[in-house]
Amino acid sequence: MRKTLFLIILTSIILNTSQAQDRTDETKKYVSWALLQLIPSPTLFQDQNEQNSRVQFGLRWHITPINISFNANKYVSPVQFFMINPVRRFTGSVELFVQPEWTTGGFQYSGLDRFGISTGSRVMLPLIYEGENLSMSIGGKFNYREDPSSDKDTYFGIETGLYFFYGLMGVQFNYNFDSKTNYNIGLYIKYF
Amino acid sequence: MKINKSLIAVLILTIFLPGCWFARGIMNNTTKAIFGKPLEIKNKIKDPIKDDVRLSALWVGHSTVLLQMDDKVVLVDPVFEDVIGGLMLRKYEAGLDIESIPRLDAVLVSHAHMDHMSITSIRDLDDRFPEAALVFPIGSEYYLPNYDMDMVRLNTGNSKKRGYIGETKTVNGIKVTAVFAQHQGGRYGLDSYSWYVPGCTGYIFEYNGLTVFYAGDTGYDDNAYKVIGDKFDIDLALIPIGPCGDCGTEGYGNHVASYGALLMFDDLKADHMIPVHYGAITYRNDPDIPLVVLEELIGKYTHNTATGMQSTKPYSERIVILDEGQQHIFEYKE
Repeated sequence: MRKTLFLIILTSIILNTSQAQDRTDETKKYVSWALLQLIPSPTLFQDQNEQNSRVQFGLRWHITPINISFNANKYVSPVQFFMINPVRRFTGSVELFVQPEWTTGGFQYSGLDRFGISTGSRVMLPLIYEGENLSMSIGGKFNYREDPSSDKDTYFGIETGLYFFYGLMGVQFNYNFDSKTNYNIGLYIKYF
Repeated sequence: MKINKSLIAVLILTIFLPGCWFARGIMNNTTKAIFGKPLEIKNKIKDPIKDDVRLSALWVGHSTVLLQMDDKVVLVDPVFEDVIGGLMLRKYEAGLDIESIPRLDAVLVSHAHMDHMSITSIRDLDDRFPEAALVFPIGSEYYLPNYDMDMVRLNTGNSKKRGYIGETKTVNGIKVTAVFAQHQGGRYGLDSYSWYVPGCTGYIFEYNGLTVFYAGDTGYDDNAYKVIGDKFDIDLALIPIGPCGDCGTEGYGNHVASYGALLMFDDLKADHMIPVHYGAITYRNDPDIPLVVLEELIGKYTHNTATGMQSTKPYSERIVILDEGQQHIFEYKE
């Protein structure tokens, strides 16, 4: 039984390899891409009130509904939706993003809800080796996070980021115009 | 006592991860890429293009070769950085400076993998030679930004069904044909090995009665290269010989080994061969092992060939082995 299973897997790999150069496996592409989008980026959120301040660990997911590249060649579209090609992104582009966030322990001092979502836009610019080794972003965003102690559930923020490893990893820093959570800094992990 | 599971996981990873060759390889390569320097190539050629040459080849290193075919200049798979793909420090620096290339008609890219296509090297070439053509296989356009060079995409012929011959286009007077390669497109791992994004090819380029074959990155196929060899009268074949664990074999999957390269050379019936795709990157063993094995094989086959045919000229007179930065000028028929 195990032998048969092994042979089936081996045959499938060989067949796939022999056809590798002819066509994209669309099913594997979209399923594996969707699964990879579930991988969160660890983020640290500031949580403060008038007396105390601390850092709260959380997770953030990066969704890019639309990206417009400044540097697309004549064979590809400069406009991409959700699945964003790294080259077109880090060689210079502007994008809209959505970031659901979740903090593991909640905001104990500020009383903000542990779930939040933000949306905004950023410009990506290449820095080293056409952006493949290092690129940067600068952008602004609008955050929604429930605040049971007041009516103010929304606040604006600005962000900047540095991206390396072909733009698939990075570090982002945010400044929010809300005294209860002024800063957050997090990793950016996103495959396409 | 309550045991922290995360602590156990960290301890296990700390103990076992360095023992894993893959993890060790990544750590080793990354450290070298950040702190290391490649070996220097002394006396780099400053004037690679000459007036009275019919055919010459300068091996820049790995798969990058500068070719002169009469008055035309072609560069294949340009990668000039010390650190390939931002991760792998090459053993020797590139054997030619882009500033030393006086003119360029075409840049041919076989596929988008980091060791064959550097978007930074292409940008440097683009700044210097905006009138050149950049030729690449269908699928690679997803991994290229925009350049001033004329970007020319070719349909590939990577299967028996397609007859192993793809599209032909003439760029700056050079007739370029995409031919069979058994490899992958993609650039970032998963897109190559799971999504199977297309975008790899070999090339035949013809000019003024000269024909050069460049295999790209490929496995050996016992039919494809016979078909290509029957169709084209090849003067020079640039054939990869690695990477390989056991280089005395045909190779595995999508990489031809030293012995497989000889089979391919026989099938192509080319006059000369230059081995490429070794010497720069440490995969699992010394990057020069494929060459050591090739030299042993060349010594072994004197009166016959790897495919068992009688040879009129031994491999030793037909295979040109170059050092990084070395150029060979072929004494050639008019």
